[in-house]
Amino acid sequence: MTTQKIGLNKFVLIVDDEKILRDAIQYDFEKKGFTVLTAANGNEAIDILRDNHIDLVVSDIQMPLCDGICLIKKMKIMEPPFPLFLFMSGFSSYTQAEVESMGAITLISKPIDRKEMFRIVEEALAHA
Amino acid sequence: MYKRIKNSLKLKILIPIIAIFFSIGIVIYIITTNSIKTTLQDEFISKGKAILNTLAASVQETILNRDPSSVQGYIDQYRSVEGISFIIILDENNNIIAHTFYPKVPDEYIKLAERKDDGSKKYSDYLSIEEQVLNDRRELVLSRPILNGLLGHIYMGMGIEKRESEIISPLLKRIVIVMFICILLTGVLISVFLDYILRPIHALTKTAQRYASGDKNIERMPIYSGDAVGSLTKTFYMMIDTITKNTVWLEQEVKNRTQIIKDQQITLINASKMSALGEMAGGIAHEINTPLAIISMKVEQLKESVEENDYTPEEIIKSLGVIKSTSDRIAKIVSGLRFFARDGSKMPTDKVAIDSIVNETFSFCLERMKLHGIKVTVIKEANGSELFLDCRAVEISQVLLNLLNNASDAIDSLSDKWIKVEIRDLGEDAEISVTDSGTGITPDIRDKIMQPFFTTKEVGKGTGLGLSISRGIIDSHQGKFFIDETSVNTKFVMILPKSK
Repeated sequence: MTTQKIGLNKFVLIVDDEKILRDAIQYDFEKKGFTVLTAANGNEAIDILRDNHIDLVVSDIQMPLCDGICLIKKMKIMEPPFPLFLFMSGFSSYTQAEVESMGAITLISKPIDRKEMFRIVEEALAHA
Repeated sequence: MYKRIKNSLKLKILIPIIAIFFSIGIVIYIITTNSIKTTLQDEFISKGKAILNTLAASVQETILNRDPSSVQGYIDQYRSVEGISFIIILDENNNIIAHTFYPKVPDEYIKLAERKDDGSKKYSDYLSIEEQVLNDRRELVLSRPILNGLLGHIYMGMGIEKRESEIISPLLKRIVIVMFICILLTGVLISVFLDYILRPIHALTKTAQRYASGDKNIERMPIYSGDAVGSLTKTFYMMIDTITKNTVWLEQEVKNRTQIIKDQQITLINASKMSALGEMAGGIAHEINTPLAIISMKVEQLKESVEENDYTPEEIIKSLGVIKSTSDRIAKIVSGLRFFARDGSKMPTDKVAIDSIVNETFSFCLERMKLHGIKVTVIKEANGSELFLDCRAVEISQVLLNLLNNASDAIDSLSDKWIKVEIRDLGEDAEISVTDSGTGITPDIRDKIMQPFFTTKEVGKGTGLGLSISRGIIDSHQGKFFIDETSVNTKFVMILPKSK
């Protein structure tokens, strides 16, 4: 994977209840130059979003307490700007079209294709 | 006493007969005494009349001579005459001249004389006859005037009651004796006769009792008569033949139906297993997918680090450790699934530790619990790894999983979400219970909840078979499966015999 620093000066929030996976994703994003914040569920993510400027949220769908859907709904009623939002999920009853209609960039499936993920992130950042 | 009458046919027949005899006796007594009384009265009257007439004629002269001692002499002759209880003679002024009392006339009798004083009886042929109660005894009082009443009156009392009782009391005695003999004779006759009639019925009863207690090869009595008892015996044997035929048919039918039910149960258990699997599929996919994502990502990152020559041996060892532990996680889930892949109902029982059942079951539902924010705790009052059951572990696991899934569905909308699994050693048995933070099952559905196809879940979410099949499974393990009604929270309990 190229180590092109696409994430310089960009803030990303990674939301996943699985710590090992969260750490692994964090490692990749930091390598790309992003400043990374993490949360274990939707509620923690909302707290971080309230206090920080975040450019991109990468969130799992299935999480305890407040899942990805709950998070995106809560973000909708927060003060703008609405950051870029990328869903990832291993097994979900939601389709790509559904999450896109909710305002997410798209839904990437687990196990994560990292090249594909960063291609989507780069493209989205370029258009933002 | 009432019970004895109820249970004895003889007494039932004897008692009305005794009552009839008794009534007849009373009627005979009444009729006889009445006729005796009438006859006696007539006899007394004619006898009294004769005596009075003679006396009146005899005393006339002595009264005229004012010779009371002679008058007394005359009446004294009658003292000993049978039936006469007293004689009083009054003069024309109603003064007593002579009487048979000693020493003087009682007041009651004086009044009797005074009452009689009116003008109408001053004829010599006038005879007054009256029945009076004097001195507490019934007396026939006869009176007539002497010489048209010019010389006074004679009163004579005849002891009719005394005479009556002299005749009637031996009669009564005789009637009672005859009655008693009649009753005794009838009793003996009925008893003997009934014994004769009832003998075949008693024999029939004994046969019926033996048949009822399960003796199929009963001895058949010959049928002696064509009367009601004979036809009863015949009907009884016909009934036994029909019952025997029907029993054979019924036994076969029950066997067939039981087999059908058994087959259906197996189908149902498998169906519910499929349904449980369907419900779990999402959880399992997620469960496996998450560690898979970690391994995939870690491997790629590791590969890059090596390619870019940007690594330390410690980092590599750490990453490999994560990969190893994560693949172990997958292995555990797979081994849990293997548990379910077999058809439990046909498996023999194995000696299995409760701990392993609980852990295997948890391996495919803990993820789901975590996602729903449910806190699951296991409380072991006994050491679950040393507590063994002779069971089909797949089935017990299926029951436990069903309870855990039900619990998680039931408390999903609550703010306080927890499930508690308790393991207890009861000595002979072991108890596994599942309690959730719900507030129990309402009494109106508590009875129905174990019935097949009863569900409170929305359409398509539950089959309504989980609990009925769970109970079937626990029953087939000789265990008990029930709702603990004493618990504040919803608590399902299974009690299973421990391995010997």
